[in-house]
Order: sequence, then structure tokens, then C-alpha cells
Amino acid sequence: MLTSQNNDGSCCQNKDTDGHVASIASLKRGESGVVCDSQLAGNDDALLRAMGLHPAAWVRLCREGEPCIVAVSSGSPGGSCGCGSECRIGLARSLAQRIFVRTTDGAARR
Amino acid sequence: MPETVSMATTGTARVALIGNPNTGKTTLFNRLCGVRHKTSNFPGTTLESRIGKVRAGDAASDDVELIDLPGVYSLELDQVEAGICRAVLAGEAAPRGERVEAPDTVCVVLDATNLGRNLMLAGETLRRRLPTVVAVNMIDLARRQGLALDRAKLSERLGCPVVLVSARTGEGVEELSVMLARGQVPSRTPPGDEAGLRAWCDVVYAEAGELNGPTRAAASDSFTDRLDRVVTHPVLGLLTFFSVMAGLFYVLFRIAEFPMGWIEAVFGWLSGVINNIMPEGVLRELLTDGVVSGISGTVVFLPQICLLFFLISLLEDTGYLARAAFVTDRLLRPFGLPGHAFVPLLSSHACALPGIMATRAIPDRRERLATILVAPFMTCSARLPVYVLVTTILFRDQPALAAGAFVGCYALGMLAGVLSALLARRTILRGASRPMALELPSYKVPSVRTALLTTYDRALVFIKKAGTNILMICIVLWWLGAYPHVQPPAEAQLLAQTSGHLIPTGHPEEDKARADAMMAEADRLTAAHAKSQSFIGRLGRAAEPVFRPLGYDWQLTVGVLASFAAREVFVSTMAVVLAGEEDGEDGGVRERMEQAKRTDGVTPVFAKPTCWSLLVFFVLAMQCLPTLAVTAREAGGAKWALLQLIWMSVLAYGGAAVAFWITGGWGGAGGIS
Repeated sequence: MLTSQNNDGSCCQNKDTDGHVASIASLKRGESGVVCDSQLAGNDDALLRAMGLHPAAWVRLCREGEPCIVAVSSGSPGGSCGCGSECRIGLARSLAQRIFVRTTDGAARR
Repeated sequence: MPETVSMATTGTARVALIGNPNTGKTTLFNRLCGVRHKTSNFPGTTLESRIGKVRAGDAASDDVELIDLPGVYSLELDQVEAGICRAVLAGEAAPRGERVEAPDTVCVVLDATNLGRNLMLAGETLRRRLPTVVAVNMIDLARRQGLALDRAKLSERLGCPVVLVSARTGEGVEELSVMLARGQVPSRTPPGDEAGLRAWCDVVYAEAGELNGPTRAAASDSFTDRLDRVVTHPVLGLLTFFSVMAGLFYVLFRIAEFPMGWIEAVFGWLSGVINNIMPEGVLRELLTDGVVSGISGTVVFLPQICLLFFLISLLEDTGYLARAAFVTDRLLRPFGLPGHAFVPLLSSHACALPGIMATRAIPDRRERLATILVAPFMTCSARLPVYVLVTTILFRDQPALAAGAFVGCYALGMLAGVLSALLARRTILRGASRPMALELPSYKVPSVRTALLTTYDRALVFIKKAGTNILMICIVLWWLGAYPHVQPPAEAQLLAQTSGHLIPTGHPEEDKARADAMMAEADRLTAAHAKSQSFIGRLGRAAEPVFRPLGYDWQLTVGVLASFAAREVFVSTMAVVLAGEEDGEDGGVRERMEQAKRTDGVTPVFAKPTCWSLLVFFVLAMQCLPTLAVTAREAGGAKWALLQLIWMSVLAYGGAAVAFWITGGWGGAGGIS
């Protein structure tokens, strides 16, 4: 099982922590969350899901503004933690505004 | 007992290589096949596929044919790449020239550092029940990040053989090459629905993966975050982009000059050898003025084309180009083009055909049409020889200025493209723009090996063109330029006669010099007369009035007309048309063209205003029949191709006339008086 700690000693599984719902575009740099909703449709939604931005995916905001850059963990919050298994996705702000996450203690990772 | 594929009974086994983008699939293909591969297209598309041979055993009979499929995130997406992958796996499509049947084995390439997401594609592939091998690539990088994978557990969970590889270091590649011949129908079938498949991926990943101590990804993330913020910054990002592009072209000019000189020397030597060993006659003329001159006029630019692709490949491998897409997205959006248009437009810098085909990834029809219409404005590799020739003439021994002019040509093409797109989006293609999403690969030291193999591919394609189409066109052009034979003009005859009967002045050396000069002038007049009376001369002279406002004489008009079918023949056409124009020693092709004179014997063919006009014309003109054909097919009607041709031709003509006027062509040297 993937149950390890980060450099700062925090465990990735704390991403299950309850938080408020916000769009990716409204996160601050370094904040993280778990994707909980998407208002995208059709091809945009299908492509972003396939790229890893699916419900329950863990994301961390790396760059605010245009584009929004997010680190996406491919693990599931209920199963693996996904640390060390990330990809980065650049998103137009208008897309980032329509993907919603339940925030976690992202600052703890840094 | 698992079912395995047997090559002994079916001949050479075919293996399809499939994977997400940015999994190192191309590097792995290169590592497995080296130069033992060819490039082909899928029928009905210009999506490229490489087909290689892998030595899977000791004997040649053990060879496996490897087909590199386009990178896809999911087989279920409504994209042309995913459609091709589905069709190949179903045995309904194959690269052109290959037999259409299902592959004997599928090799799924997974990125070990992003296994959770990559397993989705593995699951979708395993559901196809084809013999499968899974290659987990970048295992070295995953280990550095503190991730360990239990290969046996992963193999057991997937129900097929798994090999841990690093395409960069070569780790596990030999084992994979053997395993490709031992594909196994998976013993497990992953769930079919998306949620079920995702849960299956989580379980597989959680069971097979293990983090050994603290992850080292955080430090790397911090570095990547900082770099990303710089290269995607509205101002710094733009400065970085233009600095990188300017540096790239500067290096291109500085380094390519040397091999270009060597190639010219070799072809000059070859012409000399032919002249020495063959008797004077039609065959010698055909070989030296037709074949050698035409081919050398094209091949001489091979170093620049190779170097360009080498540098772009290195740049792409660093991970920078994906970031640059967002920088250009900010630039494109105000012109009504989507961020998705960056990749097709970037591809069009190699060739407009794959660029136009790549527009299928643009979901909105209006945006797609706008991108198709303007893609040929981007500087394709076929324009490079013209740019190189003309900028070299304009800025001899001034590589920085030549590089500046080169960048200017690219910029003019892009500017014309985006302004045309804006016009189209404001008039015939009104509608809102779609937002952009791209995966940003991790920054890394580029692979020289991959860049070299990419360059090899491109060079091969270019040489094949030079060796077939261009050679044929050169021979036809030589014939059109050499026939019909005509008598020397009266003036030349008189000069030749007079040179033999000069009254001695008492200074033998001066007498000889005078006689030689008169003979040289007689030869020049004879050659000019022969050219102007040849078939090609008549054609060029007939069309010359149309191009006179642009500063072109009949010789340049011939070059421009010939290049309407394909731009790349311009330089070789000019080499053939202008060959023998100058007396004296046989210099390099470019030098002879640079020194070539118009029929009046005084005005350079490539006068400076004419050079500027030519540059602008070639940046803007639609001179590629295959592109028009693909536009008609992709846009869904010949009217779009016709619109593209008319619009680009009008812009090219007008732009070239303005350039000629601004640079002093009207009334100045080499211009219209």
C-alpha cells in the first residue's frame, strides 16, 4: 500500500480533510483540493477526465491566473495517496472556473 | 495456460505500441528500433506513424514489426488519434502500405511516475482481449522519486507480462524486445464502465506501488513551479519565447554554413568530374546543368533543415514547448483562434499538411475552419531554402542580420495568419473562442539520441523528395530551358568574329585580354539569347508583365511559376535556369545565383528590392497543390481551398509589391524605372 510520508512529515492521506468547495480558478497558489464537480460538458469534460481531472482526483494549484497550472494526482483518495505520481495540466482560466474542488490543507505539502 | 502469440506460424509478428502522450513512447520506439524504421501515414489522414523492426531474438526471423500509434489519453475519446488507435486494435486500419489486420501483440507504454492515470489506458486496452505486454517506462525517474513497483504483483493484477524499462538509460529494453514476441492474452478483464475502471486502477496501483521513505517530488515541484511561473508569465514568458526562437535561428545560421559549403564543394567537384570525363553534348549538359545543378540547389539546404528539426526536437524534449503554447494562447485568443490552434500552427511550421489534419483536435467548427485557412501562412520547411537563399544574398557575412530577417519571415507569416483569422472570425466565421487545456510534461535534459533520430526521419523525407519529384521537375525544367536550340544573336556573332581579328596594338597581353573579354561578352549574349528563346524563356517572358510590379524578370518569373505546384522547387529551378549564366570558374550554386544578371547583362537578378519582394511573396503565397487538396477535404468543400488560394495570392502579390516599393524598387536599381 502507498502509505508514506512527505519531506515535511505530513501524510498525503490528509487530503480527505473536509473543506469548502471552490473552483480551481479561485484557489491560492499552493492550495489543494479534491475534484468534486465539473460544469464542463462534451469533449472538454471527456478530455479533462482522461487527462486525470476526474471526480476524486487530488489537485494542487501551482500557478494562478491565465493559465492556471495544476498538479494532478492520479491516486484515489479512498485508496492510494498518489504522492510521486502526479502530472501537470495547464488550464485556461475559463475552464478552471468550471471545475470545483473540496479544499484540503494544501499548504501542508509545501 | 495463458494464450500466447506464435510468430513461427504467422511470419513476422506485428506489435502496436500505444500509450498516453508524454510517456516516453517515442524514446522507447527509438531505443527499440534505432534507424531500422520508416515513416508512413494512416490512409485518409496525414497522421504519421513509424513502423520499425525490433530484433526479438538471435535470428533475423525473430524480428518483430513495431507500429508506433499516436499518443492518446483514452481510447474512448472523440478524437482522430483515438479513432485511429481503436481502428488499428480492431484490425480495421493500418499505416499505408501495411496489411490491415489486428496486431499480434499490443505493447502498452505506461509512465511509472504517473501510473495511476496511465493504468486507465492499460485497462481500456486489456479489455480488447489482444495479446498484451505492458512496459512501465521511466522507472529510473520513479525510483528517484522514491516509488518502488512490485513487478510480479502488477503483472498478476493486469493479467499479462510487465517489463520495467527506462528508454533513456536502456534499462530493461533488451528484455522488452524479447517479450514483444511473447504477448499474452490477458487473464483478467478490467471493468468496462469509467467509475469501475478507475476503482480498478486505484486498487492495482495501491497494491503494486510502494513509496520508500519520503518522496523527493516536492523539491522538484518547487523548482518546476518557479520555472513555470517565469516561462508562462505574460511579459517574461513572451520575452523568453522570442529569445529562444531568435537563439535557435542564430545557431541555425552559424552552424549550418559549414556543411552547406562542404556540400557545394562536393557538387562542384562532381560537375567538374563529369565535364572532364564526358564528351561535350546533350547528355553532359543534362547531367551537369539538369541533374547535378538541380539536386545540389536543393540538397545544399539539407543541413539547415536537419539542424532546425534537431533543435526543435531538443526544445520539445525539454518540456518547454508545451508551456510556450500558453504564451502563444494569450497571443492567439484576441485573433479569434483557440489555444488548441497552437499545435496545428506549430506543426504547420514543418508542413501545412499535418498541421491542417491536426486541426481535427479543435472541437469548434468555426475555429477549426479559421485555423485551416491560415495554417499555410506558417513558414513550412519547403520555404526554408528560399529564405536561406534570399537572406544570404541580402546579408552575406552578417549572420545576425540574416537571422533577424529569417525570424522576420516567420513573424510576418504568423502575423498574416492571425490577421486573416481575425478577419475570417469577424466576417464569415463568427462565434466565441474555446478555452485551452494541455498536459505540461516535466522539465528534463533532452535526449540527443531522440533528436538525432527525428532529424534522420525528416532528412530522409526531404531527400526522398529531392530524389524523386524535384529531380524529375529539374530534368523537365532543364529540357524546357535547353530547347529549342537557336542561333547566336547577330551581335554575339559579330563580337566572336571581331575578337579573332583584332588589330594588334603592340601589347600582346592587352590584346589577349581584349579578345577574351569580347569572347566572354559574346558567350554571355549567346547564353542569354538561348535562355530567352527557350520554351521556359518564352513562358517566363509571357508571364513577366504580371510579375514586373514585384521586380521579377522573366527568369524569376519562371521560378515563381514553377513553385506554384510546390515551393521547394524554386531554388532548384533557379539553379537550373541560371546555370551557365556566369562565365569563369564554377562557383557555389548560391554564389552563381547571387551573381546572375538579367538579360541586359547589368542588373542583378537578385537585386535587393527584388530579394525583399521575393521574401514577402514566398511568406504569403499559397504555393502547394497538396495543401489545397487537403484543405478542400478537411474543410468540407473546394470553396474553402479556392478562398484560401485567392486570399493568399492576393495578399502575396500586394505584399510583395509594397515591399518592392518600400525598398526602392520602383525607380531604384534593379527595379522599375
